[in-house]
Amino acid sequence: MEVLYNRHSAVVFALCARIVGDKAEAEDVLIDVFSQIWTRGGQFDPARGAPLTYILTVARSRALDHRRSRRARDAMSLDAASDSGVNAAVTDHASSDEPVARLVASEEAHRVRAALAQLEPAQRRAIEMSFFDGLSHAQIAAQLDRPLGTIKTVIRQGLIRLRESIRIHREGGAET
Amino acid sequence: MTCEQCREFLSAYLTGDLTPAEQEAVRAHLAGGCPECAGALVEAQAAFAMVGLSLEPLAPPARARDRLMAWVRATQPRGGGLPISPASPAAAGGAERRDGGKPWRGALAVAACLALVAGAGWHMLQRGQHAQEITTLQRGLAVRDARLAQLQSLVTTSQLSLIALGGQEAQPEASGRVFWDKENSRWHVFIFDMKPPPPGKEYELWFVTAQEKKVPAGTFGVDADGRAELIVQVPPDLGPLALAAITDEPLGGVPQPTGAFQLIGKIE
Repeated sequence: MEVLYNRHSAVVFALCARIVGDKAEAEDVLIDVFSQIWTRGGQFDPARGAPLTYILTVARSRALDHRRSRRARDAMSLDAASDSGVNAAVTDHASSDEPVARLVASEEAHRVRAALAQLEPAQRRAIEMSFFDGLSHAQIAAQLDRPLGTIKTVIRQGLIRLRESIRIHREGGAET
Repeated sequence: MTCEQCREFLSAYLTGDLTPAEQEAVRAHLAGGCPECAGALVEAQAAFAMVGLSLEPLAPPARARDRLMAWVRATQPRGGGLPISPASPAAAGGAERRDGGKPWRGALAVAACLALVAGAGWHMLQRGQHAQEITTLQRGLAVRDARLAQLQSLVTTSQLSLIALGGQEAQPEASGRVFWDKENSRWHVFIFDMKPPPPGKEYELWFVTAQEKKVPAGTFGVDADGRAELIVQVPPDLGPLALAAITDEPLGGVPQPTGAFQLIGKIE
């Protein structure tokens, strides 16, 4: 567990903080995520995806559940959280970081951001609303004032392009 | 449901945006054992999950690890280890000798001379072959001597640090050791159990500074046993080093990493 935690905790914590919007609550969700992985890790089927996919899926699900159950709290945007205290976690505890995991995660974050940047702005926005905010296609359509069918198509095409960008990268293609 | 219809629905299936009937139809199609659609679902899940990786990692508070580990210890034990085994080159050779000639009086003297000449020629030929074998052996010995000198330098240096390389997600079984000879500013790198690089690629070693600057240190491949050994000079003006890292890159290497991290070692 310690190896798994050292390798992925920074990525999972960033995701939890982004979705939940509160550092202290993100810490609780982080522990919840890894304890679930520890107790239910036997259910992980490698044929159904990579371990990191599984971990991120669990983390997103737990964070969204937590946010929904705390709907009464004032939502804090990531930028606000960054200003107020989320990034403080980095400066206060940088000495306890796993530098290897941070290097790998930082490089991967750069590559994924590059892949997302290749999407149409509408595709990227809709995918991020779906992923980080857990909004349904209908809710996204309402917020963006677009037809539901358009949003479904935008998200589907965006994920296909994202898949291709990530596959091209892993097979050694050039990034742009 | 056809495969084409299934793939149209996969994105919405992932986000839970299908009607119950559509959800069931996709589930039934996948349960029917369609490998292409199952593969497409795995890829779609991975792509969707990767959105979470677009954020810069954030270090959680140290107490989070303490809380989690205390809980784990209360539930189950844990353990770990790391293997090591060196590789070494080898050389071999062999020789075979034959000789012959008979003295003969009178008219057979010519034959004898001819035999002597023939024998001498044969002997000369054998000597030529022996010379080649000797040269080959000498080259092998020179290589071995050079390697012994390198290893002797390594074990007798007054300033030696060890960096353990751990396999990353791309190569969980791989491992390595870097013996940093600070007296002579050299890294002796030993790699074990590494998969061969993809076609058109090779592995590249990196010096990673404390400021996270990545400096190329050389490229290499692995042998049939997944092993590699290389010696690289550490540039004098890098500043404090934090990590040793290996990625897969296009043949010839690149000035900055573009491939996935294969092995990483923290420098204490």
